[in-house]
Amino acid sequence: MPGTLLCLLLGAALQDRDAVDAAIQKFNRDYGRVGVREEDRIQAVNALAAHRCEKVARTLAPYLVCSPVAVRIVTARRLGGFSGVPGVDSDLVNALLHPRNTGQRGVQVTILQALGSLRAEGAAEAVSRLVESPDVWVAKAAIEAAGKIRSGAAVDALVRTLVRLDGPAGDRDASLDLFGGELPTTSILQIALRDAAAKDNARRKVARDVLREPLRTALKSITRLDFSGVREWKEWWQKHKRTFSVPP
Amino acid sequence: MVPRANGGTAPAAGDCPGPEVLAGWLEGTLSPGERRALAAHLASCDDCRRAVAVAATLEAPPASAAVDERLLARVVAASRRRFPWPWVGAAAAVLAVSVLVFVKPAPSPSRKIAEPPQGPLRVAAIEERDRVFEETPRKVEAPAPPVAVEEARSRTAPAPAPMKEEAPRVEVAEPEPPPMEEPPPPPAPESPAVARAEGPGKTVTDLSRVFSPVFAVDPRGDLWLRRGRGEAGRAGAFETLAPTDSFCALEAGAAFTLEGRATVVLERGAEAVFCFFKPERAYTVELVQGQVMIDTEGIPQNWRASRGGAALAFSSLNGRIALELRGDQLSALLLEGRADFQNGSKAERLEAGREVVAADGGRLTVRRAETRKKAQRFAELRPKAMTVFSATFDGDEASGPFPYAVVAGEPVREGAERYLRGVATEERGRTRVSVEVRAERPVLFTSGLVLRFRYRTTAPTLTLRAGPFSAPFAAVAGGRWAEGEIGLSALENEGVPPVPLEEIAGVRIEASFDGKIAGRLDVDGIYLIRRAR
Repeated sequence: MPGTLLCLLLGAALQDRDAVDAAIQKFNRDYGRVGVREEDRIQAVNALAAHRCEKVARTLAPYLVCSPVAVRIVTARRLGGFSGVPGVDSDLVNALLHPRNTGQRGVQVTILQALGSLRAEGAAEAVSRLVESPDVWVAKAAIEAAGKIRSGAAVDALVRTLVRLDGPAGDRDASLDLFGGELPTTSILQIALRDAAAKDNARRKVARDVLREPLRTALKSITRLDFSGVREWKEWWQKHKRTFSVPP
Repeated sequence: MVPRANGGTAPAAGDCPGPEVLAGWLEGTLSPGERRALAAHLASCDDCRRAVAVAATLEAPPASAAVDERLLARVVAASRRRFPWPWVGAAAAVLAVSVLVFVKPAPSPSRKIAEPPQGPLRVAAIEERDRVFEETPRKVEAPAPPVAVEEARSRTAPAPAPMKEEAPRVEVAEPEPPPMEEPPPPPAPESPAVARAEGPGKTVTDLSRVFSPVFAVDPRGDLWLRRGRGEAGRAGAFETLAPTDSFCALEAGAAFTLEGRATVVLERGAEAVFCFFKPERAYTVELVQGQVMIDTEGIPQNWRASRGGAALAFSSLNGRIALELRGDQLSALLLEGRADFQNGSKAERLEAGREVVAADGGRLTVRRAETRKKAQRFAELRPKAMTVFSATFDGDEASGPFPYAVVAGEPVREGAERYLRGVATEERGRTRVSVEVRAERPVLFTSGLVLRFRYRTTAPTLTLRAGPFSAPFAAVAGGRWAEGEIGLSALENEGVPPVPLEEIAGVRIEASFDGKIAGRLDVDGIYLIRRAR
């Protein structure tokens, strides 16, 4: 009986392997044919990514870098669903840091979102570095990923960012919401252009609107604490920096 | 002139009658003498006969309903000013009369066509039609469809499914599939029409149960529309095709866009019937003569091509295909992209440069063929842009080629102008004024998709949103009407641009003002246009 069961399991595994091999062949055929359109490439990636296994992850990994931007985005999204598949997080981190993706905001954001979905602890360091990215959307994605990964390595960067964004006015509500879709009105623009400090303040106010809530959410997720103000976070971190460990 | 029963006069044979008389012919309100005179005139006048044939495709209005004389005069005057061919003005007037007096009838389960819309009918100028797609569009003014827009509205992108049950099926689950539906099991393709018995020895084929009408926009070149067995007339900016109607290109090549999903090119002398085959969720083209080329514009679709006993069925066609009649053979040459087709009981993959030839009896031959000349010809004839969505706020939300709902905005009518006025909301000391529409059938993002709109605002900047993607837009302020355009690939959703096959369900245009400033935003027309690749 155990032998029969073993045969059945082996048979099923072989069938799965055959199905995966066939899917990879079909992907290579569909993706690489002459005159292929971007929509076809994306469909090919979607079709292959339905087989969530290591072999498929290895097949798709190069397309995080060596493909059109839209394909990289879709590939990163699909790999974000490969939970438990070994090596996916390192593929994503390598792609995140690859020179070809430097400055590709959409790709970086999507990879960070994928790393967050995977709760990829191995990516904690790379994610933490991007918490302070000058690009607000990359920073937001990194902050959210850090909150999901729950690594202590990110807390320092998170608190530092929270403090930096606060500015001299303290925790007041900003009047601009640039990344919510609005642009500053003419009067604000004029002020910003005239006055460098006001310009910096305007930029900081805008980033604060986008990042403040994700920062608090991420810190709460990692530390299981919830402070109301920036000052409280700063003081707590100064006190517990050397001894902090992530609570369950 | 022949005196009318109601005190007016009707033209004698030889003089073209006014639109009221032609409308009376359709409504059956002419006296016997008037009808005889008009019948004699129609027997010899191609223009009037054509106008009556076109108008006859619309619902006949009740005779007792009033006619909006002012609007009728305006339509006729406008059409005569724009059209170099007098018959078009007559046709426009007849159509205007027919629709203006329309009253919505009670629904009937046996109806093949839906109720025509409420509201005035406008016929696009031919010059306007050609200009719209070279310059920024003003309004896509088109005759309202007399047929079931609900069919198009409920129809999502056809699923790339095999045509027969025994064909192999790829068993993969798509994590984020494009909007596709599982098709119902198809009936035997050789006998698509549903026949029902009506008494002993009598069978009536009810085509409407398996075939849906389709609509066509963006006509180019020498495109003519033949209704049933009638005379062909020049195609308007928006046409709805019943399963018995055909497009033809008489003296030169022609092209049009099929439901914002495919570009169709007809070579000179070609004629074909287009409709939608419901059981297989496939567009169908019946070639009458000549050559037709189809580009699915990046959206995988099911297509059936046929001619007599020869038929070809393609699933997941995503590319460009040339269909041609050669005697009794039907040829399909894939110029670009790929498609799956049924060869007997098995599904085969057709790659670019391969041709399938179908003869009567179902015999298929596959071979290599040269594509360059056909590809060049397609590039010459195709429209440079393809309308995939339009909202003109003319009361055409449910009846136009692209049904939509107004989510934010108040309709305003100023003389002949109709537009949406933005509605204001206050939030954290700011006033936002916005106009928003939602498409009944979401548009799939593909490369080259452009958002065009006509607006008037006092704000220096606008925020444009298409689905979850947005971008700022520097406006022409000062309260003058202006045209705006932005490529959708410039929009972002938190830093991520749209990728092909993502859904765009609606468009929102927003202006923001400090405090409680009474700012203004009016929008007259929102279009999503796909530039030719």
